[in-house]
Amino acid sequence: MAGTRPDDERTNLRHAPTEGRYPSHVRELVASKFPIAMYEAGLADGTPAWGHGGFLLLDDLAAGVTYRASRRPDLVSESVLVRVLAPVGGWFSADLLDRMADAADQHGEGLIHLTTGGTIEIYVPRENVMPLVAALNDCGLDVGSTGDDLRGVTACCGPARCDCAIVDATGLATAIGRQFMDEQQYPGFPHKCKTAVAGCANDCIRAVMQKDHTFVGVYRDLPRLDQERLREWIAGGGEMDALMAACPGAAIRFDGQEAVIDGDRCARCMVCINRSPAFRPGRERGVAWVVGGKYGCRGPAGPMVGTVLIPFIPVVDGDYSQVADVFARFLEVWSEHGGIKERVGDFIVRYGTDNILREMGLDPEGGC
Amino acid sequence: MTLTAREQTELLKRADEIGLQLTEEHWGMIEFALAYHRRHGTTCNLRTLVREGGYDKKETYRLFPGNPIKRICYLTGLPMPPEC
Repeated sequence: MAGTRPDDERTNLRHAPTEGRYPSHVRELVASKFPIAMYEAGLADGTPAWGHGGFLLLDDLAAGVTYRASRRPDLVSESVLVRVLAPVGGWFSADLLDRMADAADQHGEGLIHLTTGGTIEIYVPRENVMPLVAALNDCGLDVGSTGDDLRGVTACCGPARCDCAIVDATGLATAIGRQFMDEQQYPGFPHKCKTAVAGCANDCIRAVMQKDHTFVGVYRDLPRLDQERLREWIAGGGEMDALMAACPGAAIRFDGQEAVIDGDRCARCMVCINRSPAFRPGRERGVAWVVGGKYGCRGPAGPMVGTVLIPFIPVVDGDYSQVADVFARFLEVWSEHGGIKERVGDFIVRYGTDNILREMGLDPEGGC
Repeated sequence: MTLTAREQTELLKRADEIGLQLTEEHWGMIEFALAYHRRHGTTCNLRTLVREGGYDKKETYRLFPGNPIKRICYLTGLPMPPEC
């Protein structure tokens, strides 16, 4: 961010909490070179002092960088940020965080933004963009995810930390990120395209509501049920009636000794698995592909929860080739038939999932 | 080559201004953009250039850094496509 940062305006945020033990965003902003006067001016006016956003085109960086215009050029002229293609799942060693912080300190504004979308942004004066990129490259990181390209792939923490994970969400997201690296750095799609992997249908990262493409870990057979463990769980206070009532398909019957799952009624969700350790995910595993999630009011279809395009794509022994193959085919179809600035959600509403699947060379009735 | 000698000279002058040394590959894309404009009355966008011209997207960025279509429009005088 270039421009003036009057020090006397830095401590004047009347309504912002800065004292006490609770973390304060204002303390962090003030500790960096962030133009806090812009924040305060926005609060005072009742309208943020930042203007519209856009992209700066750079010869050495095809994706360019994001900038936000200023409504108060007397305070700052603009805000430029670089989006980092970071390790998926939010996994950073302290050492990598240290080196990234050094890069942000040395070349940027000493401020790192962990966004709600799961990406990392570093604010930087436009003249320092390339030195910052070089420093990030030295850390083993890269940049991109700007403009009408494939945005950085995100994921939940997956089996590295979670007991529910059905597929290796971080592994699949990393594989997609690596295979589609150019798509993240060279814009050329109809619109931006956000992608995430959720390790199971719990979808803790709420990807199906936010992302144009979500791969959700699913199982196709029935949940595995350990009767002995179920009895122990009930003896320990587990409420079987509540569990059966929670099952969305009313698929569980219990005779007082053993439970039975009705395969025709079971939705292969995570409800029983979440409630009792006696239920574990089935062994026939893969991903469901959900397309078209987007929030915000842009596009004719408005906010959308994603639609299942393919209910099951097998993932066996970390082989993600089928996922990558159909994903590449979709991107081709969307590039070919997507309208100008048409998000995936609006595209599937206009073009239809059956037509999309046919264009991809798949049978709409048969799936993958 | 569909450009007159004078148009070519003007185009080369503009390329020089922005530090581009035009090669046969550059001229191929420029010719495609001009032909597309003659056929459709609009300038092709990047997706059209890549898809119909058969060019590699990454290569277009290498040849015309920043915004390839903007560069081609600057060199040729073609109008920017509406979405750019």
